[in-house]
Amino acid sequence: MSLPHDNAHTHVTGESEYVDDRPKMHNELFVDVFYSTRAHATIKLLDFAEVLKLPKVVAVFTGSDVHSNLWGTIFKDQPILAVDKVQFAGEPIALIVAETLEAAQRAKQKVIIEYVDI
Amino acid sequence: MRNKIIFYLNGKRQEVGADHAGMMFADYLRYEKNLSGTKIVCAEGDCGACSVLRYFPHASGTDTNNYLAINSCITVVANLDGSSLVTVDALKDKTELHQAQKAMVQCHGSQCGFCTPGFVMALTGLVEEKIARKETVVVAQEAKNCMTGNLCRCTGYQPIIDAALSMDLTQAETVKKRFFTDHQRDMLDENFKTGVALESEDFSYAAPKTIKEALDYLAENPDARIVGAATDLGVVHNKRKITLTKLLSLHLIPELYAMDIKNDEVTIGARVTLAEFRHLIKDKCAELAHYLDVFASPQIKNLATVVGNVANASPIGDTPPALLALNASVVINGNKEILLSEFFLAYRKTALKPGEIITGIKFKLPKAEADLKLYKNANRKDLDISSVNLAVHVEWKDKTKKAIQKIIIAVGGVAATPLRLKQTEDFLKTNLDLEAAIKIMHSEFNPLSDVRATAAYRHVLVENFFRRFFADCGGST
Repeated sequence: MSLPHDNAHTHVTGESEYVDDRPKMHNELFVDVFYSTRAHATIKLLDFAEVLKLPKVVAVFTGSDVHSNLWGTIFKDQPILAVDKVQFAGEPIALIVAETLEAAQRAKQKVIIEYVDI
Repeated sequence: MRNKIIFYLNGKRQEVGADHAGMMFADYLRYEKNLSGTKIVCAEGDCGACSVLRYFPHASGTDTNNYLAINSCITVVANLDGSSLVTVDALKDKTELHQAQKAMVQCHGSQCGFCTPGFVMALTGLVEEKIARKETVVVAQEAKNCMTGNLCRCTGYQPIIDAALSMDLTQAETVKKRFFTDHQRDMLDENFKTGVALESEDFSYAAPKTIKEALDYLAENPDARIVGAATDLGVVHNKRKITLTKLLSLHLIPELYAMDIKNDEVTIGARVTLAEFRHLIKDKCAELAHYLDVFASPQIKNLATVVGNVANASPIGDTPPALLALNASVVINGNKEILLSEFFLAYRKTALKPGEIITGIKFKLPKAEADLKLYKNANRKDLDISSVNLAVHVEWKDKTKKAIQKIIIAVGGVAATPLRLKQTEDFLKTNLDLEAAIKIMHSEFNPLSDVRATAAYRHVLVENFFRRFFADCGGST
């Protein structure tokens, strides 16, 4: 009989600690990602005015806020946050930071975006 | 009136006011009680990582008089009023693992471990049920059925099924014995006598004691949503499409838990769960019981109500076609009845008027010589939204099954509402010509194509289920 998994005992009791199981820090902020709903399109309009008006929203970051927005293991040609153009459905476009996860999730619905499919 | 929700959590009394009563129970456990053993993955009642055990002593089903697994991620804390709950964090008895935990360790049932607490709780629910029935051996199908509401993406299910089969039930002590005391029962009984009214800036919750009080409340608060178990509303809430801010719960009205079969007439109250309903009819209408087996998961069925499934008026709800085929009636405000066939008006729109409450459902059991068949197709056999479901109920003129006396054909997933195929029914009553009937059938609906099935595929499914009905029951055409 092979040995049980090292963590089996704490897995079955719920004692294993995953990232979200750690106690929340005071003033901890939560981030949700705003994703593309199109597979291949240019972004004609992207407006966070309504998002930023929400009381619990702290900040919004887009690709232009990132010091270096391109990454890749060999060729650094992949945007971290899509700017002007999306290349797959589900591509991250912006990060929304809020005081609670729920506030970030709800704020996401207030983003105004217009695509032109390519 | 109480302004607190009262329940027991791992043996300790909890009183929750309006500030936290609108939370989902999984969030409450993790972020308010620091009980992080219960995990959240899908947040829509599909994956079971959030499974906890709930005992509700006021329900009327004797077969469900145990701690039952439920999905805590889509359960509003307020809806747990009067319950006794046990989470994975308390399952280990001092240093001794529960049988379900031991079995999962020994059979290598965990890998990343994230789904494991949910599986453990689902298995513990099975142990409770088995011991209550004085059974000591778990069979494979039973193990699989008990875990249709749990998903694992790394270990694979075989070690987990092995764990279920290796549990030693003779060594297991029930959670009920460990956690549910006479004192708890007395306290919960006492609290059950008083209505609840919670009010805060962004959450309002009313749970009156009588149907009359509920109707009065609804007359004054037409914007309140009536919640059963919120197994559907909870999902919509978690997906941030709505916010559950003003709720009316019927959980403190004792008569709504009633269920009965008298002179072959089945009556169930608005608070009867799908699990209790299945137990009620299992010996009287095996076809319906089997159909309920492939519908949702134990965690959902232990909480969700039959009336909720009807009131939700989804065109692809699983009970409506079956209940339509049984010519069920919806009881409104405790004193008015409307045929289910006249209840669904348009997409998610019913004949229920503002200020009215569905208090129950009633129908006659099929006659012994009648044929009732219920079919469901989904991408996954268990716990999946149907592509198409079809119910056919035929009373034959005589035993030769060559002519039809009465027929009801009800189908879901092909129109904006669950649909009766009345032209096909009328045709078959005078002319048992299957091929001609199928042509009429196809002309009676024009389904949508979506992610679950294309319109053409839905037509094929309905036709094939319909053909299968005649093959299954031996009717000659």
